[in-house]
Amino acid sequence: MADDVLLAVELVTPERVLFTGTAAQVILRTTDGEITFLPGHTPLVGEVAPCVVRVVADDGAEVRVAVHGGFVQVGPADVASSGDTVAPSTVAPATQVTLLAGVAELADDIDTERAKTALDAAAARVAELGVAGRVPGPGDEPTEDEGLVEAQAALRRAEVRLEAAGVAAGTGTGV
Amino acid sequence: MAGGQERILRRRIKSIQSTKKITKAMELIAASQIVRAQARIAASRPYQDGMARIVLETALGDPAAGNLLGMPERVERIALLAIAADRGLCGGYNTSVFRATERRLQRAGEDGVGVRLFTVGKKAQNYFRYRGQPVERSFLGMSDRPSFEDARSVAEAVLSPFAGGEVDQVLVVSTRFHSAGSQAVEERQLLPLDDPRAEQAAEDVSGDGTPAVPVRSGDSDELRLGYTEFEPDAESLLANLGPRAVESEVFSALLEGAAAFFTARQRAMAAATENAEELVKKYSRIMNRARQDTITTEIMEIVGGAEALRAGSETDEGGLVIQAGA
Repeated sequence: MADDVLLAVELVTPERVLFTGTAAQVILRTTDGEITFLPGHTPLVGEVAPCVVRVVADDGAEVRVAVHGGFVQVGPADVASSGDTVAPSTVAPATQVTLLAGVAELADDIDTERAKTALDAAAARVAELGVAGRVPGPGDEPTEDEGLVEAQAALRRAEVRLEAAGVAAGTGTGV
Repeated sequence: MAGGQERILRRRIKSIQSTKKITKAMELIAASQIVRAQARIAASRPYQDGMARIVLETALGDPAAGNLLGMPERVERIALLAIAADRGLCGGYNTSVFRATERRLQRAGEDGVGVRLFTVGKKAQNYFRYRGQPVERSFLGMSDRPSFEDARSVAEAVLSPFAGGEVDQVLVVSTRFHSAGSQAVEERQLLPLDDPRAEQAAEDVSGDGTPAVPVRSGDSDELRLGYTEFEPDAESLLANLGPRAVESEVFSALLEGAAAFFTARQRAMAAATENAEELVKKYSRIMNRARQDTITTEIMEIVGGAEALRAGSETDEGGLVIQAGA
C-alpha cells in the first residue's frame, strides 16, 4: 500500500544514519536554490548547498538539521529505499527522500556557544584575509585565495549551525 | 651448580607468564575492538548504498559521463594506495598488503607503467622507505579508528593527480573484511569509478527469475530515465559526486582494514597466549627435573656421607675393640 500523504525521509552521514522517519515536507537548499519536497515529487537528484534542512512532520513539528553540503535523491520509495526497511503491514510512503551529507548535525546536538565562538573567529579571519587578498602578491596569491575560501566556508558553516539551532546568526557577522 | 640452572628456569617461567598476561589482555582488547569496528562498518553502509544509488541515477542521466566512470582506455600512469596499519603484532596483516603491493609494483614495472605510491599506516611507510621505494604521501595515525575526515584527506590526495590528468587510474590495495571469519587482501580500482550502468545491465539479465530483484525494475528504470530532474545538470552533478563517492569508498576501505587489523591481531595474540602456556609447561617440566636431580644428588651425597661415616665409625669401634682387647 502506498500513501501519498507522507514522505519517507532518511538523512545519512558517513558515520551513521542521523535521522529516519516520515514527514509531510522537506525543505532544503540546492545549489540552484531553495526547494520543498512534498509527497509525490518527481524523481530528482540534487546537490545540497550548506543550509538548514527542515523536515516537517504532518503535525507541523519540525526537525532542523545543519547540513554542510551533500546530495539529495528523491524517488519512488520502492526504488530508492534500501529494500525491506518498512514493514509491509504499515502504510509505506510512496516517495522517498534520501539526503547524503558528509557533515550534518541535528539542531539539538549543536553547541551554540562553540558555534558562536567559531563564527566570530571565522568572521575575523574572512575580514583579515579579505583585506590581505586584495594586496597583489604574485607568488602567494593562490594560497591566500585558498585560505580565504576556506575561511568563508568556515563562516558559512558556523552560520548554518547557528541558524539550525535557532539563534540569529546576524549578530556575529555584523562585528 | 645445579641450583643455578633451576633459578634461571624459574626466572624464565615468570617472564613468560607476565608476557602471557600482556598477550591475553591484548587479545581481549582486540576482540572488543573488532566488535566496535564491525559496528562502524555497519553504520557506514547506508551512506555507501545511498551514494551508489545517486551515482547510478546520475550516470543514467548523463550518457557521456566523461572519464569518471568505467575503465580507462589506456593506462600509462597509476596511483596506488596501500592500506596497512600503524602497528604490528597482528600476524600477517601488514605483510600480505605489502606483498600484494609489491606484486602490483613489479607488474607495473614490467608494463612500463609509472606508479605513484600512497600509503596508510606507519608500517607501510617504514616498509617501503626501507626498500627504497619512494612513497608520495603516507598517512599515519588513522588506521585504528579511521574517521570520515581521515578518509577525506586520503581521498583528496589520490584524487588530485587523477583530476589533473597526471594518472589514468587509481588502485587500492587493502584488506577486505568479508566476515569475522574471512578477510582477504584485494586490489580494486578506485578511479575511474565502477560504471553502475554496466553493473545494472548485468543484474537485469541475470536476476530475471530471482525474487530479490523488484519485478518492476525494468519499467521503473525507463520511467526514471525520462523523468528524473537534476539540480544542477547531470554532468556537473556527476563531477561533484565523483569525489564524494571516492571518499566513501576510501572510508569503507579504511574501516574494513581496521576491522581486519583487529581480527588479525586477536588471532595473533591468541596464538601467542597459547604458545606462552605451552612454554610455561615445557620449562616447568625441565625445572622440576632439574630440581629433582639436585635433590637426588643431595640425597646421594648425604647417604654416601653417612655410609662413609658409618664405615669410619665401624673401623673406630674395631679399633676400640682392638684396644679393649689389648
